[in-house]
Amino acid sequence: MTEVHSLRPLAAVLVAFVAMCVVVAGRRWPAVRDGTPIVAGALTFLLVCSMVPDAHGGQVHTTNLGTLVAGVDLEFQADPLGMLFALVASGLWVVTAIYSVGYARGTGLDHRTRYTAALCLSIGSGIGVAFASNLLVLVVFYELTTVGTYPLVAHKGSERARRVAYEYAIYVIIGGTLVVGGAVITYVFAGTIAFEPGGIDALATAATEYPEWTTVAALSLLAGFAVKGAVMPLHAWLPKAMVAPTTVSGVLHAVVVVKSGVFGIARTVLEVFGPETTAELGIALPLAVVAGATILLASVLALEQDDLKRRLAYSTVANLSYVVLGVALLVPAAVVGGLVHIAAHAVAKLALFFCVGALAVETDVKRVSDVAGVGHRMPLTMGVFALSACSLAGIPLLAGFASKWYLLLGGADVSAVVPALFVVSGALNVAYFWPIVYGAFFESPATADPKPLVTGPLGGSSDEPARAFAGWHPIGTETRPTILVSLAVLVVLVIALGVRPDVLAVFDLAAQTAENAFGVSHA
Amino acid sequence: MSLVGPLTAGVVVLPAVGALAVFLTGDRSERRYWRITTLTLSLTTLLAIALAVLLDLGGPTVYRPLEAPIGITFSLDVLSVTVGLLDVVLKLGILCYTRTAGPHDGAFHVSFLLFTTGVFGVVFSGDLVLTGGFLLVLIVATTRLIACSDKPGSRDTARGYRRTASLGVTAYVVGVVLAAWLGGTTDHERLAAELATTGYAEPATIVAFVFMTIGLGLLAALIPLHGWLIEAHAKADDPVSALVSGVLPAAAVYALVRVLYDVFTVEFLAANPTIASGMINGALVSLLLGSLLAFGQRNIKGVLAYSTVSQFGLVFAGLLVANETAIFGSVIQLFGHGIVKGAFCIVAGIIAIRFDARTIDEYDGLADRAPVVSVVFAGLGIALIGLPPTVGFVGKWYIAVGAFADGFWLVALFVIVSTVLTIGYVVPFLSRIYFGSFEGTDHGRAVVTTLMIAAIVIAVVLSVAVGLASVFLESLFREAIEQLVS
Repeated sequence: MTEVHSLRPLAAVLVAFVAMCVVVAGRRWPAVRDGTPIVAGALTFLLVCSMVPDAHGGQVHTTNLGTLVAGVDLEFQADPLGMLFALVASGLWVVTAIYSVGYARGTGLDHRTRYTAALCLSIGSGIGVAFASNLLVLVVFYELTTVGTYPLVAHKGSERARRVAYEYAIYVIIGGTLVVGGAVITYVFAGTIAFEPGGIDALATAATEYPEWTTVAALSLLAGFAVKGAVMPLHAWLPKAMVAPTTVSGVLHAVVVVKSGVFGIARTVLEVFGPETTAELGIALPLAVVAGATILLASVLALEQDDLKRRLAYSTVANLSYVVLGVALLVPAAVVGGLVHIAAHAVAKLALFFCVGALAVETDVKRVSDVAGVGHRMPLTMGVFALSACSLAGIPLLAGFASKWYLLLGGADVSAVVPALFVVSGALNVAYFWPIVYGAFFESPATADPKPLVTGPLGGSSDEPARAFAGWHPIGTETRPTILVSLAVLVVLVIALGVRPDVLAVFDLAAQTAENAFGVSHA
Repeated sequence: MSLVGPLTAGVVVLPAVGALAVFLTGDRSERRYWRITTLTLSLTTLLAIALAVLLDLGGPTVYRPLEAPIGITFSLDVLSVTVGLLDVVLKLGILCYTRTAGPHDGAFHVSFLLFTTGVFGVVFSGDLVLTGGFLLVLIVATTRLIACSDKPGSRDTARGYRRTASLGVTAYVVGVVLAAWLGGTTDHERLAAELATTGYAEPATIVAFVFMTIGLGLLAALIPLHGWLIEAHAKADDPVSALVSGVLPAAAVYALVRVLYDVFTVEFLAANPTIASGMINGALVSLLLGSLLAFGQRNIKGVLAYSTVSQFGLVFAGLLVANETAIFGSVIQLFGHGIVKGAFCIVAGIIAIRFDARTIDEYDGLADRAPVVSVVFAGLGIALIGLPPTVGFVGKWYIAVGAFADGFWLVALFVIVSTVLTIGYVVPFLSRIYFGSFEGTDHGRAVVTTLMIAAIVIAVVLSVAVGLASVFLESLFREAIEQLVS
């Protein structure tokens, strides 16, 4: 890899921050306030895209703004791993911004300026996390995502929303603090905390001399990132944070916050400690076990949730751990699969959240037990829901299959437990999504019955109050056009990522990251 | 060298001259007091900046205008000017607030200016007796400042402070007398040489050190000697609180650093590891307990007061680690905390004069009424928590790195954990301000002037700028810090 000095990584980070200021300044003009994020998102996305060809060619765009603290530069770099995350974050920001307009208008959201500005801040800091060239810069933006998302979680202002937001803040700042602690130890032992594909050399030496402290540093970093990555048992904040508006949940779960957590884990394993040192310290196996356990447990817990958003939240917890598992397996194919899953899960989960948000805008369906017949009222929305759910369940030709396939390829090399895990979790995936899809399309409110898998009497009972969705809506008018447009974009992405995984270069970037980290050509 | 002497004298004497001018103006006009004070402090700031430049170019300097037996010695370096600058810069901000919000009377302005003389004297002093003298000036000025408030009981608080502080000075003086008896001089440099020959494990040396530390530790409000600070916060006016929190402990801690590193030197700590570790543990207890006690406070001033106790535990711990990185972190933290806490007190004052809000319950929904003040509150809160890239984070980073590199992993741990503790008392306020619904009284925008807003906005900008400029500051302080621990 060669470094190219360029302002583009910095510009990509700054656009969102400028957009935030414009939103605040233009608060009296709804068009400015709502339009700015869309324009800014598109601009950021184009900036990121413009660096894709060079990233392929092994050239890393770097902006160095001097020294942040002694020995640590304030530097942004568009390396393959960062590019992957930035592509996902900026691309989905555009979709989110479009959707957000329809959602906010449809639900009559108040404090729109604060909400929109905080959304810009969250995503801008997400891009900062992606392009950070060392642990400290990463931490700076990691904490800024917290500053940006805290007001979003507390947005409703109710007693509950505020309490949940407070808990959320404590959780993620403890996570950030752990990362800082890990960075301090790493810096003292290695003399640098700049990311190096394959690991920091000096740290590898330190790991042989001071294995205890190096392990402490690694655990501290991993645990810190695992808080945002919602790896069990550090996941509790995530289902609670569902109190936030649905767009926010989408941003939290699919685009920025949780992804910055798993991204941090990938950076730590691949580019701070490196696969070899990680294996040497004996951290990889426990990490993989924790991730595997999280996948199973979260999937089981998802079955029990009646609230649609909470069910999606547990599904997120499970899916994030696929990424962690991929990284922890320490074989190139699994790493590629894990990293592609960042994108694959992001598009599918964002689509699912947007569908749930659309249901909330047009009907008052918020629970699994209420979905019966809603597919007739909102066929396109529920169609997208079904397709995205299939993607997450790993049905071929959809995004989730591509990533899981590589995970499986790599995992099978390591242990037979991994394929078994995938079979079970795939079944659980179907189990927690199928009742929603089935209920929406093949039942009417009058004939609905619970579909219990974990709780309730087997076979269910039909004492649900009858609900009817009045009114006839021609195709394409079931909800606001901004919502439908963003759903359409996401569907295209879900399919495109499944049929041609190299679309938007996501696959190649992941492969290149793995190649750099393991020092071997692959895929 | 030639200009350092006059500038030093100027910086110390000018505020006293200003105080005299205010005094002589008589009862003619309150606005005139304000003008004289502002002019004096602006000039002092310029002189101090010039002095800082000279000292940066020329390196640390010892300046002796009068030789023994009277013996006036100033020991100057960039660090001491920085602590002095913190005082004057903060005061210029405070004046933006007091111009309309008060206090307006002559007594306030006289003691306000004398306070600056006291601070500069304490931080510049290179002689133990001289330090004691300036400490007295500082205490008298602070007592008067606390008594300026209209709040019931403020005079009692002021008297209480005077009593406690006098005890502190007494302890300090006992230590000085003992040291003078041992070394035959009170000049830092010469006493250090004498003590080195006497031996650091000598009981009398240790007793002298302990007395001085207790005296100065009390003035720096380290737990368990922090009671006066909490009391003073509750009763003093907000601008005075800004000084009591931002500057007063900073000056005392700095004096302690001088005594520790200039007079007793690093070898003393090495010879008496029990004292060194005892002091570090004490600082950590201060850091922890201060934060925990802040949790229980409903009143913003109570929160700020305990937070100060905690922050100075942090600063002190970093200074005791005695390596260059950690000391630099403490200096950054000292300066940054002064700015942030001072501005916080002013923000609390602004909120109090506009909304009559003092307790957390009264802070509900202020963001809808006062967006700019709320954003500033949030920004300062973030700096106080120590999230990057504010100065609070950078200071902690250096302290933690320095402490860990020298094997003080417990210090590093506490420094990092303190971040989490701080959320516990800052975020509830933010939650109320932004997500509560407003139910209090609003005296309207008119009571808050543009000048006040400008001052607090500058403080927020500074808190980020100082954080980002840490490398520049490090190059500025390097020589002074190296000499301190050499």
